[in-house]
Amino acid sequence: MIRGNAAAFSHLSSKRKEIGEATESTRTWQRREHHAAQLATMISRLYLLCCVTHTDAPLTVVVTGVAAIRTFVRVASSYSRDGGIHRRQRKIPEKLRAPAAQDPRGPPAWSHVAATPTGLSVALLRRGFSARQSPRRRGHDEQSSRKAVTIYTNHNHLARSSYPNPTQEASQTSNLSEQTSSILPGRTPRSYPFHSTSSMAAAPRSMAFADEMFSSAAFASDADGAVGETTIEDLPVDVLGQVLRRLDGASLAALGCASTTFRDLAADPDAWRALCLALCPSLRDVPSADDHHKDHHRRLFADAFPFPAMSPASSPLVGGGDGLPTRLVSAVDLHHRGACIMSRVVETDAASGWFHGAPFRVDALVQEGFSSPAGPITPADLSLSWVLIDPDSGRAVNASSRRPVAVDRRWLTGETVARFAVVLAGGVALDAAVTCDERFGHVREVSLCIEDGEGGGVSGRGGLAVVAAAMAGARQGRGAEEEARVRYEEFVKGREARKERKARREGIVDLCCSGVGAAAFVGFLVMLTFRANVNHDCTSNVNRKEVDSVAGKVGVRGCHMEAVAQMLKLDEEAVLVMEVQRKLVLEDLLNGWHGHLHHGGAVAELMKPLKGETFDVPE
Amino acid sequence: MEVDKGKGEAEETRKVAEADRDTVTLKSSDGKLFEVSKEAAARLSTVLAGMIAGGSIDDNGTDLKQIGSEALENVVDYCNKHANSIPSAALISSSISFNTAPFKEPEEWERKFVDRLSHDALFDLVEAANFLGMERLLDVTCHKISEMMKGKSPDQIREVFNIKNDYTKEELEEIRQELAWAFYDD
Repeated sequence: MIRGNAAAFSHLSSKRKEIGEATESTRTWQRREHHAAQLATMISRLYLLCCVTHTDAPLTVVVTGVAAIRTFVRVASSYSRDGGIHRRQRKIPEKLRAPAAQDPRGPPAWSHVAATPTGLSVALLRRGFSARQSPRRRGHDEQSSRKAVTIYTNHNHLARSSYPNPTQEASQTSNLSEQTSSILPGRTPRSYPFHSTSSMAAAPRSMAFADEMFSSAAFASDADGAVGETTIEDLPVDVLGQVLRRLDGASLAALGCASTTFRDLAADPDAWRALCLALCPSLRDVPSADDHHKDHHRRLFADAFPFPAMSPASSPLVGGGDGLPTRLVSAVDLHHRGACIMSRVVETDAASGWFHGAPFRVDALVQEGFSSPAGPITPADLSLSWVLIDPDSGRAVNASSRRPVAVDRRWLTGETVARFAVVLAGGVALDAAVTCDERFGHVREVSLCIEDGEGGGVSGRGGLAVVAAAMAGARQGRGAEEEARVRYEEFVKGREARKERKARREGIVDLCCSGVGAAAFVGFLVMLTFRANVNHDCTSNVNRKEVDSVAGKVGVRGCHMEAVAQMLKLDEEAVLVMEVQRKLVLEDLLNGWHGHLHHGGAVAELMKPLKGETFDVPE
Repeated sequence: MEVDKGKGEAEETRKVAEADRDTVTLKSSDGKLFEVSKEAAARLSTVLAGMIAGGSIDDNGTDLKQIGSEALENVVDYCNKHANSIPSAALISSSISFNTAPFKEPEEWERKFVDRLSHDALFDLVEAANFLGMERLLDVTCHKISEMMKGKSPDQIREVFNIKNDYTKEELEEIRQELAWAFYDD
């Protein structure tokens, strides 16, 4: 608005130059005076209206009447003060000029008004507006609020101001003043007059519509207020508007909860729309049934900005089939280092059987790929906003973590995948991914899938159920972006853990199988060993003393077959028996006697268990 | 036309004579006088620029009845500091419509300037800046206020700004439900 002033100022001064060059034709002046008179009437009517609505009283009506007359006189006398048009003076009745002339305070004091470079200054109901907005001062300002309709235009020295090259700025900034006032309809009381700036600018002579008596009273009360406690509620509405426009969504909502005064302020649809668009510029192109609704953007922001919460434990996959959205609109925006490099709205027909059967997947890129005009893309600097909207219900959900939660490199294809996954209730994740090509530094693919806890895909039908549940579910509060990463890491960790557990289970089965095999083998060996031991079992019932005596008779000293004995793990007795047998056999061989024992019955007795066994002895 | 030109020149010489005084005297609501350089005042405040251009500056102190002396002192202080720090071109070129214009972050000294103010003084300064049409100062102060609000719960906002909660319990419950996602204290 103030910039608007500057614009109008330069506009005015350029106009002024033109006018200076044109001769002051009588017609022009007539028209100007007509303008002035019209304006004066208009203002006095407005004034009258204000007075009648704000206060009781015929008194004020009288006062207003006087004010109106004085205003007219002021216009007229200001004309008369100008040297060029003295003859106009004659048209003004003498008695009407009198009050202005007798006014002890003389011409309006400039310090009482907000003079601006346009030369046009309006404190249009300024206090009136703030009084309505601040309940605390309501009573206090009752007096002043009815007053301050004060429109001053400056004198005609404007063309000589110290402003640098005002004409140049005029054209470019004059649209801005229009823009400004259209952006904030009714929010900035001081911007009203700019609608009439052009007609005002056509009248360069000073015009002063003022009621000093009232305006000074109004400002006096203003000054009183400033001395006491100033609270935030005392600030003018347009200033508060500027403050609100700097807030983020959460703070704006919190402010709306602070008191009823701020509720209306914080419900400003324009502020919410701006927040929505700042978050996701493509939302501009999203068609919506209830776009005209006052609260639309606030609700959209409340739906789309916060991350979906994990808390509801109900399994989304079980959701009823009838409630599924039939269409899905995705508003996708990709930013790289703060600059928007892609902004698209994709509409998906979610009613077809084909969509229900295939794995859930939405692709935001239809063309081959694109690169950023600012140079190669580094995936870690990307930020993605992906808002899924169900146009029928008007609900929306945020499907992206904004900042990448993971950046994976695929060495094989030379691609890098930045993941923007949001983990939802029920152990599924909305997995929005941007695939970049390392070699060319461009974006190859922007897509949204849904992944379940085992790393597998989810069908279109299941995916829709997940999305619908997320739309209806609760949202998460602060710090969500950081948490999204943590959640995703947990999700990945959970997935890894599950995989690991699976692998371990398989490993155990493997181990069991090979264990059984090994056991069988070992059993076989054991069996063999056992069979070998049977022989010793036959001899084990032989008395030790007998064995010793026989061994003494035969003349066995020590064991010649230690290695064999060790291998068969024979006990001492058996070793001895074996040794005895060996000795006997050897002796028989030496004596040339086969099958005859001449060491007497004791040996024969000892050899009894060995009967039937043959000894292979080489010839 | 000739006559008009002659008159213009005469006026110009008068202006030049006026411009020789390079300070402006401002008078607060309680009658204190402050001096500020004319150049800085014209550059920073659209209202003062208009008054200087319009020749309505009073040598004995221009009355600014709606600005208290403390606020005016801050304004003058700001003008003086600003005069030594930023070239004017940057300021003028930054004047684009406020919804689209990227707001330039306050500089270090501006931050310090508003940080040391009490709430009362800050709000008075906002009002003064708004009244005098001091775009940049308004930006900086509004930024400060919005920073004070950021990241706070409704209760904290009420506490910081001394706002009375005039919701009924039912209303508050309703609005809490509606905006549950936004609360920082959950």
